[in-house]
Amino acid sequence: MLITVDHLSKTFDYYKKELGLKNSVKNLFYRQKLTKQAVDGISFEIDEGEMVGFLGPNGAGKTTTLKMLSGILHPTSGKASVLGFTPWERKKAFKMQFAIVMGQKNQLWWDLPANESLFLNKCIYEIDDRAYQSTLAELTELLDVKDLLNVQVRRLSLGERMKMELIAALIHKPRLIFLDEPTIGLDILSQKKFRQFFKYYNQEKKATIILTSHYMEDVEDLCRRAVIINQGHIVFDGDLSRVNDVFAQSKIIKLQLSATVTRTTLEAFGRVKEYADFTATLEVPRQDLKELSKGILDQLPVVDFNIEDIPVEEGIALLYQRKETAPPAAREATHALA
Amino acid sequence: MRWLEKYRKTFEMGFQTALEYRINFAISLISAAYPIFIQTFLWTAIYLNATGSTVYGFTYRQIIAYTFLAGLISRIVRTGFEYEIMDDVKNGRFSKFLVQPVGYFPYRLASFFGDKLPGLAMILTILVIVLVGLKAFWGVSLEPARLLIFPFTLALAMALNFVIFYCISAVAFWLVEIGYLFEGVRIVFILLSGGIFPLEVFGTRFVQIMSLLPFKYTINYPINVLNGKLPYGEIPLGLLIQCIWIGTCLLLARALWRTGSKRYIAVGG
Repeated sequence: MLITVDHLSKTFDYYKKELGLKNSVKNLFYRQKLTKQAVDGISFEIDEGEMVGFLGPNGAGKTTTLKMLSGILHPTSGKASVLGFTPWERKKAFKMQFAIVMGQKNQLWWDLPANESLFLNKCIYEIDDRAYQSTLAELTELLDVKDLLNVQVRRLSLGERMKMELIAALIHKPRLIFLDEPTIGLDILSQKKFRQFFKYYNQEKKATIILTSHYMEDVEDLCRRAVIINQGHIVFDGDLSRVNDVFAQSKIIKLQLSATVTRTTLEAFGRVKEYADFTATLEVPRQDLKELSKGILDQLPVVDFNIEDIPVEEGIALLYQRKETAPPAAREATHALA
Repeated sequence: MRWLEKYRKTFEMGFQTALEYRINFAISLISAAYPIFIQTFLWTAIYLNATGSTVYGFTYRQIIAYTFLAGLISRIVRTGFEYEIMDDVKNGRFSKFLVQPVGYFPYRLASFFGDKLPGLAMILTILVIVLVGLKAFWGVSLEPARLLIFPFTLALAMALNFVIFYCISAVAFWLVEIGYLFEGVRIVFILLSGGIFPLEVFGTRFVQIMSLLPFKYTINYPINVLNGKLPYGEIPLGLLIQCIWIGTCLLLARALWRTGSKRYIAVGG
């Protein structure tokens, strides 16, 4: 296993401040210290060459987990082995083999052209000239930024800068890459290009990639496996396409009608998710699917009829909600199902 | 020496960055000249109303020479990287140094000296002009032996000030916003180091206490080596004390940074 995580936890101390000036003054003299359990006893394993999506709402603990796995943070408790090392011991041999890309953080020198920062990374990672030149040529070609190497970083667009960041992170050919929101703030076209690149990189270089993203498309497009984390717990770990198995009770029926039907008529068959003059989307219990389909076809003026799974995105949103409201036993059940 | 290459490159990039901001540097030079002129006027007024020809053991020419030298040397030893460190810690940029095979201390040192070099060259040139001027027009005696020892004391003074501020910047791990702390500390330090007035102004007792603390060895000591106020026999002891304080601050910095970086919470992103 390339990564083994065993009951990893991290708590942070923080201070509470109520709204307003009065409370700001009060805060000068007394601060109520609170503790946040950012990551709460998570365990999982990742194999070499895997591409895993780390999903979760804001503040779920995704980034904290990545920071522990890359050695930036010390955990409060638990163990982890990454590339055979304990990450927070920060051994040089460990650092030489991985990279972390954070969408909002940059490692490039702002006032100098990107090629200066790239060359600095060549020196930092002790890469020999020939390997550096060939990797640089390959990456700049793939990301189409060859002509921008001599431009000051502060004059580059966000997308161009992110590409340079990526080259800087990959120049030492890491075996393991942590990508924390790498496409944040990028336009749709750039996001797509980044995805194509990661896909290629994973396949060609056999690099293990762990990705967190708010954009569902990033994850759906790139990762077969998803680890879904919420409130510091893992609520799902498995094949992304199986997220909905957790919600196997429901199916979606999409209808195209030749005449208008009242909402009440439709509600007799299932929960109406969308409704317009000649189209409707229903959510129906899986066990009644056959019977209800028959009823719909017999009783409604159906032109077209489609049965679909709940979209992955919705399944994940349901997982988030479920975790927040479910008692611990139900959580375990969800996890076991996965 | 592959490992050294990364710091050589960092030095070079710091140097290039400094060249990017030439105007900013020119303005900083003008701002450095300002306190020198104010003090010159102040001392002139004091000496005009003084009863004897010396004040605190300094003749008028000696005190003006001291003022000029103190103004220039305080510029030479001045740091500035502490704000970058505070920013790194506050905004989570310190993380990149934890994941890359590069030491934060040598990286900062290399980047700082690279960044400082163009300015340093300029101030050293001014210093030489001032020294030549003092000798030519005021007949201030500059002994060759002292001129030879002075660069060593100055280099150690720079190193000492660097490690002192490196220690102070570790406070960023405990207190997030410490810009004013740096300012406050700088003002007190510059006073204690003889960067505004000669330390003799504060009395013999004060000078004795200051001889044991590191501050004096960043500005006052190199000047006194140069202007002949310090007897030859006392010069080696000063060099030794500079080295001892550099070593002590390095050990302290190591301990502070080791504890501090464990507190680092890598905020944001």
